[in-house]
Amino acid sequence: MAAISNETRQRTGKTSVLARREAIEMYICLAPWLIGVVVFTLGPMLASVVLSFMDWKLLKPPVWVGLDNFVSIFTSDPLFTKALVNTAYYTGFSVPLQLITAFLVAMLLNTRVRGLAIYRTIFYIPSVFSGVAVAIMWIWILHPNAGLLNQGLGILGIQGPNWLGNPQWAMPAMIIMSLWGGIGSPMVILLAGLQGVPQHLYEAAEVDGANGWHKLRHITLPMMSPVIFFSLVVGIVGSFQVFGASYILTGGGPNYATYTMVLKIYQNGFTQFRMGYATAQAWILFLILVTFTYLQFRLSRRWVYYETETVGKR
Amino acid sequence: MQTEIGGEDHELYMKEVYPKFTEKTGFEVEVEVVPWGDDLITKLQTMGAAGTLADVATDISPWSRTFVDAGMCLDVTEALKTYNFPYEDLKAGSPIQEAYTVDGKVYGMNLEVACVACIIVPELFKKAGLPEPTKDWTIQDLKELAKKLTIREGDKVVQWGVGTDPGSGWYREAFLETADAPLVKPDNITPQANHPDAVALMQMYQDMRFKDNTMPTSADRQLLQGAGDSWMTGVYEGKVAVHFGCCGAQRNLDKFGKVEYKFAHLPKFKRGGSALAGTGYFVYSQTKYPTEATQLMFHLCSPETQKIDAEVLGWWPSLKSVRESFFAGVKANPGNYDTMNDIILNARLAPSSLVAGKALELQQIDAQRMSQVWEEGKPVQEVLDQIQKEFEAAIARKS
Repeated sequence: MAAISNETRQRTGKTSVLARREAIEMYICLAPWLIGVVVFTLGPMLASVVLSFMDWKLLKPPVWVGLDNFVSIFTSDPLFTKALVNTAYYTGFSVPLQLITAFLVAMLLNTRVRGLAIYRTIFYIPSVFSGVAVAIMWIWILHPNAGLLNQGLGILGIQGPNWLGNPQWAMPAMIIMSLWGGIGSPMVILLAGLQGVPQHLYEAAEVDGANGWHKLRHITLPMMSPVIFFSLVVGIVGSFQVFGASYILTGGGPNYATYTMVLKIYQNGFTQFRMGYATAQAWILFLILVTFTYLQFRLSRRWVYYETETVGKR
Repeated sequence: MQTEIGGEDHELYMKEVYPKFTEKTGFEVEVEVVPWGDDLITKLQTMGAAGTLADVATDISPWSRTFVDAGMCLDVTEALKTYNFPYEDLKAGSPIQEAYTVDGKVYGMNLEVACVACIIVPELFKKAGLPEPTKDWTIQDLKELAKKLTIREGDKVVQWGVGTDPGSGWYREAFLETADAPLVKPDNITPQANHPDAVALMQMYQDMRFKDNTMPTSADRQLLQGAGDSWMTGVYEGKVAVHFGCCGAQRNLDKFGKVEYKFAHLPKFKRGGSALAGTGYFVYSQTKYPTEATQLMFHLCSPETQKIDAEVLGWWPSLKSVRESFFAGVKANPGNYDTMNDIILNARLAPSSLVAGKALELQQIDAQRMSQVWEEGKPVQEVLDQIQKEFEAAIARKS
């Protein structure tokens, strides 16, 4: 049909008018989005590339400083390294913890239990709460004397630490909070993935005498690997951009223990008015994330199993 | 015309103030309320840079110099001669107007002032059989007083001798300056975190917190919170006997207080005087209505507005005449207000007002590093030396 239609179009020339009109209509429909991307995303991004080579105190015109901002970041700003290490620490613990917990919860919710929708909603609710409200609630949960967490630990005979006041415990506290609010979204995605694993694979494995662990190891995990991979990439990108938790929970403290990259960029840019310097750091963060994501994609070939690819190879 | 006001609470009395201006001049004013805190400064500066700032905007004394340096403020020196504004009264009321004056030119006007106050609960002194602090008490007396006023039940403190927040930010800065520990060098520009007097003072507080256990930690203070927006709750629930803090706390004391409180004289210091800050207004240099906006700024700082501000919010008026009439007329216990009036009259401009444009960054450094003193109990000298080093690095970057 398509071949006939193209032929007719070429012969008569009439349909090409139609095609042109369709194309125009398509561009009109796309225009708001395209304009939005150019004006609000691409434009500022390109402008920020230029700004990263400038000294701009916001209130005075920007001055070209070449690579000075980047040199300063790596040679005379110990807080940059501190923020980077803190962010990596947060990501290194919060993402795997969130993924594992979300996976376990998704597995639980993938069983035929009564009131499944209610449980699913309960687990998902924390992720729709306002981050600010959640952080304030956690300030009280983590209170060293009156907080729920330390009260609970007290019942077990454990003296809980000053979670947010002690530099050693502030970051673990932030990770615990992220776990509570951060499992909802990956849980829903993983649950959808679990429900898409063909039942006949499990039935065949059972016939072959596979137990629960075997089924998890050899069917569920390989079949779920693309979904896990997606959640991992999104999780790492998101957690590298953590801001609200450290801004509200601790202000980056105590003693910079929870000082993260985006909080530093915000403070440098919007409270210290070193816009060029902040922009340079934002680009470094972007490059780190791009590199990380690229590496993940490279490594994914070793562990992510795409059923369609295998079928294609056959 | 547009105006930008800092803090939601100011909106309360503005409802009364703006209609009066419209009535007088026929100009309609559109008001935008910006939340108090870092956001306010950020927003004002960003809009100033973008050329979209309101015709009249909030001017906080520590930031006034920065706004002037950035060319955001209109010079109103000449206008002062035309308008019937009691400028001499304002200057006599406190040194706050210095913050809005650069090289003899006036770039803004003050509305209300804030300084360090010492608030006591007389009943707790009575119970302990102790006399209330008099005009000649010293900061050293405070340590001993705190021990006598702290009450314990087993390991738990049920009444704190002294509750204060010398931790960081404006409080620490104001508190150090008030208590003889200069936060700026004699050039009045270079910050100085590790002055020997500052080290000694912080050491005294660290000892009160960790050794004597007579002053609450930040976590303890959090538990004293409740009503209002201030940790003053400890005072008005009778759990803290003596408190150093912002004089504006009295508005919460009046609002939520369950016990009688009283302003005491500040301890006697060598240099004397509390560190002072304040809020006012400036006219945006790029306003399309310079004459009308200037008129509005004067109206927003006028005796009439200051009186409404004091009555509605309980802030301290910067005009001497308004403050005195307010003290005399509003409160049953004028002695309280005489004490505060005395403190305001003898106050000195807070040093952050002098370290223009660097205050917030320095406060951020201070807030982060001081936790080592207050939470970890690290040696004060070591921490303050480190802070000084970082202050200097920050200033070098700025310049």
